[in-house]
Amino acid sequence: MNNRHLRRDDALDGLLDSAKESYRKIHAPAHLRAKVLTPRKKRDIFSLSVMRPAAALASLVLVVGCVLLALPRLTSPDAPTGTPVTTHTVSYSGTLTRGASLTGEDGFEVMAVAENCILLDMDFGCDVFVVINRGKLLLPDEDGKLHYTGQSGLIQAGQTAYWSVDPGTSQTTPVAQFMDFHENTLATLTLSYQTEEGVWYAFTEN
Amino acid sequence: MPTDSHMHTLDQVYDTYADMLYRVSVSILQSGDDAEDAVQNAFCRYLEHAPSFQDTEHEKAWLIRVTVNQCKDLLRRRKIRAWLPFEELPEMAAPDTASPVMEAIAALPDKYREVVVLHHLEEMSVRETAAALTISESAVKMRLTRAREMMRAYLTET
Repeated sequence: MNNRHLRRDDALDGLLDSAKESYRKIHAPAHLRAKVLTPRKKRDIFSLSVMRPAAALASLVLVVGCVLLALPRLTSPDAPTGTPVTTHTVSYSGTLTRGASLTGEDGFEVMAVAENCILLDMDFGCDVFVVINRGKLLLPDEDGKLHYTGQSGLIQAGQTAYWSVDPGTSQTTPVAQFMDFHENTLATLTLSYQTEEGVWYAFTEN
Repeated sequence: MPTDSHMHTLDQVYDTYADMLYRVSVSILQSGDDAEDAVQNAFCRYLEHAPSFQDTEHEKAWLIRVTVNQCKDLLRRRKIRAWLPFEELPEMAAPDTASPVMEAIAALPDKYREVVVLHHLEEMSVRETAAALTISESAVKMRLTRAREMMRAYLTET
C-alpha cells in the first residue's frame, strides 16, 4: 500500500490494519449467490406472475382513487426550494383486468394483473412501472424490459424504490416512494415518483 | 441472452469477486440490503454486457467501478429520500462496526468513505482507487488526507 503521500500516523495506520481483519471477515450472504446467478428468475417474475391464476385476483376489487387533487405543479413545503410538485389522486373501481385504463390526468393502463401484482404502463417520464402488492417492486431497465430489479426486499410504508437507467454509469433515476402500503390489499396505496426533471407526482388509491 | 458458457463464467466470476464487492458496498453504504442490491446490479450489468477483459485485473477494476457506481446511485437516492417528509422510513441496517476505526470510517462523509474503503481496506493503489471512482489521483490523495484527519478527530473525541 502506498501511503507515502499521507502524513505518517502510526496509531491510525495500526488501527486501520487491525480494522482490515474484521473487514475481511465480511462475506456476501449466501442467498445473494442464488439471486445473482439466477437473474432470469427475476426476469421471469412478471411472466410467471401473469400466468398465475388471475382468478385469484379476479375477486379482488381494486378501488383506485381518481380525483385530480389540488393544483398542478404545486410546490410541496417539504420539497427542495423550487421543486415543482404535482399531486394526483387516481381512482379505479372494479376488477382489474389487463387492458383496464386507470384514468388520471396523465393516464395509465393496466398492462397485466396477477396474484398480488399489477403492472402499470405510465406515460409520463417512465415507460413502465410495476407494483406488486405485498411485496416487491419491479422496475425495468433502460430497454423497458423487466429484467432489472432496482429494489429487492419487501416494500414498506415510506420506503423508496428506484431504478437506474444505466446501472453502470450512475445515471438516474425515477424514484418511487411508497407512502402507505397495506399488506394484502391495494386498497390504500399512495406512491409518488420523481422524473429526472425533478417533478414529483403522488398517487393515492382508496 | 447469456449462453451457458457465459453463465459458467459468471458463476466463476461471482465466486472470485462477490465477497470483495459486497465488502466494498456494505462499507460504503452501511447497509447490508443496499449492498446486496449494489452487488446484484453489478453482476446483472456484467451479465447483460458480457464485457471482454484484457486480464483479471481489468475485470476486477471493471466490477469495482460498476459496483462503486451502484453505491453512488444508492447514496444519491438516499439523499433524495432524506428530504422527504416521512418520518417512518425504515432504518437501514448498518453492518456491525467491529472496531472504533470502523465506526470512524462509517462516520465519514460518502466521498471520503469510498476512498478509505478502497485504498486502506481493499488495499488498492491510489491509481486503482482513482480509476474506480473516476476521479484524479490527486483527488484521491486529497480525500485520503482529509479522511484521515476526520478519522483522527473522531477517534480522539470518542
